[in-house]
Parts: sequence; C-alpha cells; structure tokens
Amino acid sequence: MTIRGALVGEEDLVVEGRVEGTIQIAGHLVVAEGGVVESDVEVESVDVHGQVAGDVTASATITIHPGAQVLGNLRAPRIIIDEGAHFQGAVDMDVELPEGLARVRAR
Amino acid sequence: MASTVIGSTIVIDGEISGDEALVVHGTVKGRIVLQERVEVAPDGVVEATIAAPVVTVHGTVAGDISASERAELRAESQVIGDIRAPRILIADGASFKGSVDMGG
Amino acid sequence: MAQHKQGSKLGGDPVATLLGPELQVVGRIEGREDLRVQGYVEGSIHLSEALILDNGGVIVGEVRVREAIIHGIVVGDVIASGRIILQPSARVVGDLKAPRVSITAGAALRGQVVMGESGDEGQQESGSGSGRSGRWRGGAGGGARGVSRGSAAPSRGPARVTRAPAARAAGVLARPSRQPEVVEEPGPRLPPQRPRPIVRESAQDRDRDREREVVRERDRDRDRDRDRERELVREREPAPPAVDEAELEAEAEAHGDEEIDVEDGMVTTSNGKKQAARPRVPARGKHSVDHA
Repeated sequence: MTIRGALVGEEDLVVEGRVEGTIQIAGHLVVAEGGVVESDVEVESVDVHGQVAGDVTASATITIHPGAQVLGNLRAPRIIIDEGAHFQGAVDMDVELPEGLARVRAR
Repeated sequence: MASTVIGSTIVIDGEISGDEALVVHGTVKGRIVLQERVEVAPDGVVEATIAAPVVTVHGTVAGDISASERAELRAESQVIGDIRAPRILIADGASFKGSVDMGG
Repeated sequence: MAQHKQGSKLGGDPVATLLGPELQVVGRIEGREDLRVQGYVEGSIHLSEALILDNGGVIVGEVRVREAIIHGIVVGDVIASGRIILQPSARVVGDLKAPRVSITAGAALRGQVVMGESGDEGQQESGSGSGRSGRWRGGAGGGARGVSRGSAAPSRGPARVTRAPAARAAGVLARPSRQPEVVEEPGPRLPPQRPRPIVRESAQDRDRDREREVVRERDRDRDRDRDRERELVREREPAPPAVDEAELEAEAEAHGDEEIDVEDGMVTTSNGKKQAARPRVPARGKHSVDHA
C-alpha cells in the first residue's frame, strides 16, 4: 500500500507501508522495519527502522536504528545513528566548541 | 600524571609542547619543548631540538639539547648536536658529537 | 608519503602510544599502532590502526585511521577504513567517512556522513571533480578537502539532498594551514633503528579503566557502547555489517499491505486516531493511493 500526499497532524504515526509525501507531525514518527518514506519529514522525534529518502528535521531526536537506511540530511538537537544503520547525508546538530577552538578556527 | 608515550611506529613531524613528561620510542622531527622530563628510549629517534628540564637519551638524537637541570647521555645513546645544561652526564658507551655548554 | 619506519609490531603492540592531556602537538602524526589522544593535536593524523580521542582531547585537522573512537573534539574530517564511533561526549565539525559510522546519543556532529563498503566509495565522493579517484583512502594529506561539501548528492536514490548544512561548517573550518616546522639537520647519519618491544601494561590498563569510567558516567543506560568499544579495541577485524538492499526491498514489499489503513483519505495513526492524508496532485508515477 502506498500513500502519496502530505501527512500533517499532531499525532504519533507509524509507517509500515510506503509514504511518498511530506510528513509533518508534531508527534513521534516511527518508520517501522519494512516501512518506506520517500519525502521530507518534519517531526518532533523519529525512530527509523525502515527506509527514508528525504531530509529529516526533528525538534527533539532522530534515531536511526540498525538495519535502517536513510538517505538525506538530518537536523535535530539530538541525533543517534546506531551501528548497523546505513546513512548518507549531512548531519546538522548544535556543536558547541570551547572558546579556544573558536580562535583556532578563525586563524 | 599520565605521561606521554610515543610508540615505536609513530612518527611526529612538527612541534611538541606542553607540561607533560615524554617518552619517545618512535620518531619525532621538529621541536620538543616541554616543562617535564624528556626521555628518548633506546629505540627512539629524535631529529629535533629538545628543550626540557631533564633530558635523558638512551636512543638517538640529532639536534640540540637544552636542559635547564640535567642532560644525560646514557650508554648506547647516539647524539649529534650541541648540549646546553648545568649538569651533563655522558655515560661510558655513549657516542656524542657536538659542543657542550654548562653555562659556567 | 615516505615510510619513515616500518613497525615490527603490527597488531598487539603493548606500547600504548598516548598523547597526554597537557601535551600539544602541531604537525603531522603517522603510525602503525593505536594512538590515544588526551591533549591537543593540530595537524593530520594518519594511522593504520585505531585512534582513540578521549574526552578532553582535541584534534584540529584531518584524521585517517582504521578505526576512530571519538570522545573528544574534532574539527576536521575523520576518515576510517573500518568504523567511526562518536561517543556521547564527542563534538565533531567535519565529515565522517567510513563503511560504518555510529553516533551515540549525546554526540554532536556538523558535517557529512558518508558510509559505504569499499566498492562504492569512489562514487560517493562527489562534488570535487578531480577528487573522483575511486578511492578516498589513497589520497594525500589534503586530498579530502572540498569533497562532498557543496553538492551533497548521494550516489543512490533520488537527488533529494539539496540543502548542504555542512557547507556552512566548512566555511569556518580551519585547516591547519601552517606547515609544521621541520628542522632539517643537515648531515647527520642516523644509525638503523633497533625495534624493541616495550611492555607498558599498567598504563594501558589504567587508560582502559578510565575510558570505561567515562563511558559509564556519560552513558549509563547504554552499556552496549562500552562493550562495543572494548570489543572494537580488542578485535582487529570485525566483519562489516551486510546491508542487503534487495532484502530490505523485499521486506518493504512484504509489509506494504499492512497497518496503514487508508480509507477516504484518512490515515490511521499509532494511537488509533485518524488523520487526513491530503493527496498531492501526483506528479509522477503509477500509484497514488492503492487500496489494499
């Protein structure tokens, strides 16, 4: 079964099928094993066991579990990529460097 | 205090500095400036100037040694360079080529 | 680059190379043994073995190793032929390239992650034109600059990666531009080396204990990180995890007809409520909403 179209809501969502449209929910998203999301995702938090091809933005946590495949950019304060997960893309977290390094970087 | 150890396969090309004792089994090229003692182990090779309170050489040094307290060239050591230190020990069996300045 | 020295102690070398917390190194570090960094290193680190960067340790520069276990700070790319583990206290600004990369909870990263088996490494190196050498391990020191930064287009799948947040990071990334000061002493002939194994077990044990402590403190609920790390330090050739795409596809097919229940454009969410699934005008493809 395939869903094409935007998913918007405030509830938690579990994807075990195929979604080809943006997912925007203020809750928790689970892409279950076998689930496929081919779109951008904006959620509070997400656990990926299946496949995601798209940029993923979370206000809290992104977790990519073993066996998951994610292709896209990740942005969240907290990102976990478990060993055995496959990920390709950029990761954007807040990286606080000590003051001394700011000087080094400016050199 | 954890002292720094440079293993026998490690090559450092650059400057080593800090407040840390150092044992060199590997190779260091460049400069060593430390506030703690420096020991060049029998398998160590230092192609660098060394500045430290105490410098003990069992291995090979090609470069000037400046020790604020003591420089020791132990047996088997091979040193090419100038040594400047208030106290200098050159053991029997050490080979050394260079000048010595004991500040006297 | 010249091999200055061929280590005779590949593998279980009991001499633990340690750059202590009060040490600064500005220059190039190479070696054929594990290296533990607790201090500050500005310059490149190339090892055929593992790098362990302890919490409090800082590396500014490129790291090319077999395995990298990062508890500290790295400003620069980390490239491993085996794996990279960012532990909870890790702070990294730079790209990670390795067949296996894991980022534990609490670690912070800004940069690209390039994972893959050796076969497709060349393809994954995008964006640098001449950088398509087919193997990123072979490059010289600065070879990885500019790789995959501007145009972060992964080799597989749709070209969805349009934003490149890492590009910003790259802009402020300071590579050690300064060449290490090399004092070339003219003339002196150095005698051949006498490699001799030195046993220094107590130091190693102490360090390992300290490392466990750090991990325990920071990651009490994730004991397996510690186990993983110990295992990693001990076993030299872990088998790469097989990510079988065909299998994943097959699973995707198998599960495709379950769970998400679409009737009249509603989607059942995990707590049983229904949400509107607003279908977009399908721009492509055969299936819009296929009722099971």
